[in-house]
Amino acid sequence: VADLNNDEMGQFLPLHPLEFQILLSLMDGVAHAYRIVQEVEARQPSWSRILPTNLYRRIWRLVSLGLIQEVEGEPAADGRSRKYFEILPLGRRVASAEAERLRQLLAEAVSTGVVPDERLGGS
Amino acid sequence: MHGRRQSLDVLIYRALLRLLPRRLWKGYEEEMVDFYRQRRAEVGPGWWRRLGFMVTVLIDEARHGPLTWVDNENRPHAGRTRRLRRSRAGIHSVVQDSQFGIRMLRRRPLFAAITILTLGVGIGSATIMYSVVDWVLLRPLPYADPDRVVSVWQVFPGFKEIANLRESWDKGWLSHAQFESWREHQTSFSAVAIHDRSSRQLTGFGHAEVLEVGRASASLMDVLGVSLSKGRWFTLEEEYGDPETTGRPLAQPVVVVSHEFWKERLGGRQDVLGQTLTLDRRPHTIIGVLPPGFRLRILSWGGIDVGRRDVWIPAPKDGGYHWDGIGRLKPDVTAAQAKAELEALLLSDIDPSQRWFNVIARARAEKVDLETPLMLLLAGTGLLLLIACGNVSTLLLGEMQTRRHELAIRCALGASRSRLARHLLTESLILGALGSCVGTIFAMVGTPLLVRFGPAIPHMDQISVDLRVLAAGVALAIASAVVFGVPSAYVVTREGASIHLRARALGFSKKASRLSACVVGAEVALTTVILISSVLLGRSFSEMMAVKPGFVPESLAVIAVEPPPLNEEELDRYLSFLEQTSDRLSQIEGVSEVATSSGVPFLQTNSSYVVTPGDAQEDAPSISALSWYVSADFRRVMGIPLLAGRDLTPAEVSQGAPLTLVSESLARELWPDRSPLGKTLRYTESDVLTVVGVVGDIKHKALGYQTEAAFHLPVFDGNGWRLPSNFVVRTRAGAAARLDGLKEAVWDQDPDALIREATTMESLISRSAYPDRYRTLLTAIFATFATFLAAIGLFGVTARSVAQRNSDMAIRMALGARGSTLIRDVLRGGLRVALAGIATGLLLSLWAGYLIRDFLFDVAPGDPLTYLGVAGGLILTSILASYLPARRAASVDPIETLRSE
Repeated sequence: VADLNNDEMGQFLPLHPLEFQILLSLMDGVAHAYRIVQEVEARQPSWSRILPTNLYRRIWRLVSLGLIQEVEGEPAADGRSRKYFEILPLGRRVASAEAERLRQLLAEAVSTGVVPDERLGGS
Repeated sequence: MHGRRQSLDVLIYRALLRLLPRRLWKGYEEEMVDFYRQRRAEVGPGWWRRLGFMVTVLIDEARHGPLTWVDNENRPHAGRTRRLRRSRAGIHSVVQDSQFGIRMLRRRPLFAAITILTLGVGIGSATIMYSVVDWVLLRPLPYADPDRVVSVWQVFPGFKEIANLRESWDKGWLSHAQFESWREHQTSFSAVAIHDRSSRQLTGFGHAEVLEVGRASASLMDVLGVSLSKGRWFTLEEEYGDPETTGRPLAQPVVVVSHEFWKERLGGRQDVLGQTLTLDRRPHTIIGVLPPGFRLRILSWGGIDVGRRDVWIPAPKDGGYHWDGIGRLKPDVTAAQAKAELEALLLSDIDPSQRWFNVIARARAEKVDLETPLMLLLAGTGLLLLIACGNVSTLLLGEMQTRRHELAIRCALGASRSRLARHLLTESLILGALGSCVGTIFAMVGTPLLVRFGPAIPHMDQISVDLRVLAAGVALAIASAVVFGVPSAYVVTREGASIHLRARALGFSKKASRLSACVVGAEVALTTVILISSVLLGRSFSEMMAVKPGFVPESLAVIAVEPPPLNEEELDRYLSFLEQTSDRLSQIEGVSEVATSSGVPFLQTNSSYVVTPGDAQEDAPSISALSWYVSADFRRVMGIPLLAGRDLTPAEVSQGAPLTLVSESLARELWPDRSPLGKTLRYTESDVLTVVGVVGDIKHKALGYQTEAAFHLPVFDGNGWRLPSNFVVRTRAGAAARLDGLKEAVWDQDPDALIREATTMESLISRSAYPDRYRTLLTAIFATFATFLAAIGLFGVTARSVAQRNSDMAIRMALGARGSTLIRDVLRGGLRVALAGIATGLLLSLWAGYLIRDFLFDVAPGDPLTYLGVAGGLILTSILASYLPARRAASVDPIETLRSE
């Protein structure tokens, strides 16, 4: 994937929270959809249950944008093939750009006193 | 398919996936179904959880599905920048789509209004009815481990022969003695209990009033596994409450109050335990408060007891014969084993063909008398919902037809097919959503009304709009809008622009017309069924109201006074109070005569006895008859005819002379073909009465009930006093206007007198017909809706077929056909559909009539007049529904039409 300058990167942002979470779940390696959702729901217990159409809409979009891709993996317990997803370099860069965006956002919020300054990440 | 059984919801889900862009569902269908299954497994077992899950999935689909189309149009075939720009435009276009959809619907207000109303009525009524059925029939009983709780009934096959006991022959009471012996020796149950209902006078809270009192044994809470909100239930000592048994001095009696009584009457005070409540002039100590909503129905008798009690007191020792038995089976014991043990214990020396016991799961026993009427009602609602869905489908199919032209033009002008499909989907969703709103309002308003005015059925006061049910209804509405709206949208868009612009006669339109004709035919059939049921019930109701009660109810007032608990010394004083009050009442202006009675028809019936002729031989007839203690002038005041013999004199009545008057039917049963005068009547082992007169039969409980035999009984019947504490007042005119004056007169005599009821005889009769009136009204409402919906469906189909054949008609007119011929042709088309529907409906109605036969009074389920009348009415309605479009067809200007084509 060609290098993108910040301007071009900005076109992906802001990421939908679920899309961001999917990217985070894939940071450590490939995973199938159900595994991704389990991780996301473990990190975000306050979210309402993630349902199939929403999930696959997001996955499909991430695939279409070239941020993640399908890979072959272990079949399921009953022998049927199963789709796994892998994060692409562009996906990693978009995820960190989104994280950076969120950090700046938080810093702004702190400076205006909307939230108290408690162990702000990175400082 | 895929090596495992597909459950229905998975199939539905797969179908829903087809609504997504092809690339998405082709690539991920199996994955999505897998994911769906995994999520579903997480919600756990139980159909209601599944349903709830299904609803959230539908919402998910409705929310994100259309947006996948937006994403699809932005798939990466163009430069990234452009794509992203378009993506934002795409989201914007969803808003636009909705606005466009609403605009399109506003341009066709009639179509939109009818569709929305149809959906709303269907969803609303289905939600209401389902809420009732859910509360009454489907919820598990609110007891711990409810499957182990059983009802114990004594079965008397001989009761089948006795008119008044026939209904409850297999649901007989236990006697207290039987219970004692059962409790002592049984081994099959972890706990057994009895309970019944009674009433007590509550004083010390303003006006004296009557409380519904439950009486039960100490073990009741062990049987039900219910814990009290506060305090405790009675102990065995308190149940026996007898110093000789317990060796302790008799303490103040105890009482447990219901949660509702505590909240509403005792102000929900926290220090309620230990407080005193005066019941029947004896102080009782409050020892506990039951949990909210606690109900315990008495099942071992004919009527429907809703199980609400204000307070509970211990069952008295030696408490008579009329107890409802209930028990909790031990874990390994079956109902059959418990039954065998029970019979061995209690029936060892009795012929097993004369009497036996039934041990029935409580859950089953509670529902057995309610199932049929509720299921019929639910079926009616289901039919209405089907008709509503059918209508929505014909309406939407018709809309697609008439809009083919518009869609084709938009297609030709470059609208993408997915965009068109999205528009149609959005419109359907808007319709479904608005229909759901109407349905929600309907259910929200209708449920409290039903609770307020509905019949007394168990849990009726607890019913509220069930959100799960409402959600299911809303999902159903949206689904029906989507299911019926979208496929045609897909067909339309798939066929593309060219065909539509080219020609009129298309395979699709023919198929669609045939389909909607079938749907409308089915609607007409269902309407026929509902209408016939409704007319049968209505006729039965009017037949019933035309029945004469056997006395003259006009200008008759009733003042029912509840006697306080009396001992022997107080009795004379009370009887003279009644006498003085009677005199006082008769002096009031506008009152012509006053009589007293121990019971009042349509309000309070007296106990019945099995009576035989006094000189009975072996095969002498015996019959169950109601006993009345009335003053000498009661017959005359009521307006009951004297058929033979003479009245009793006041002296004979007050002295308790062993003389009696019998009703016509009793005389006929006991002494067929002979004069009853001078004959004797045996009503207990030792007591006989001589018949001096025969009076006409009267209705005692309801106009629709069979006339019951009755006889006059002296004031003291050997078991106890029957107090003539009800006043029947004949007024000169307008009984209702006299009621206040009559009440004041009673209170003048005794300010503490407890007036249980002060009303007119006519309103008592009307009240007794309440369930029938309610049923009739409800089906009439159903039938009105159904007829209305079916007429709309028929109108829609005919109007559409006329619109399609516009140019044919124009050509025929141009060639000289007359308008009347065209009208006849159109009518014939509409009538063919209607007639097929009506014929099917008539056949189905025979079956429906058979199902409701128990509710019919003096009307046969297959009453030919009703069938003919309904068929005729429906044919007329169909002609009307087809005539309007037909006339429009005949009035077209052929030149105009042909030019526009």
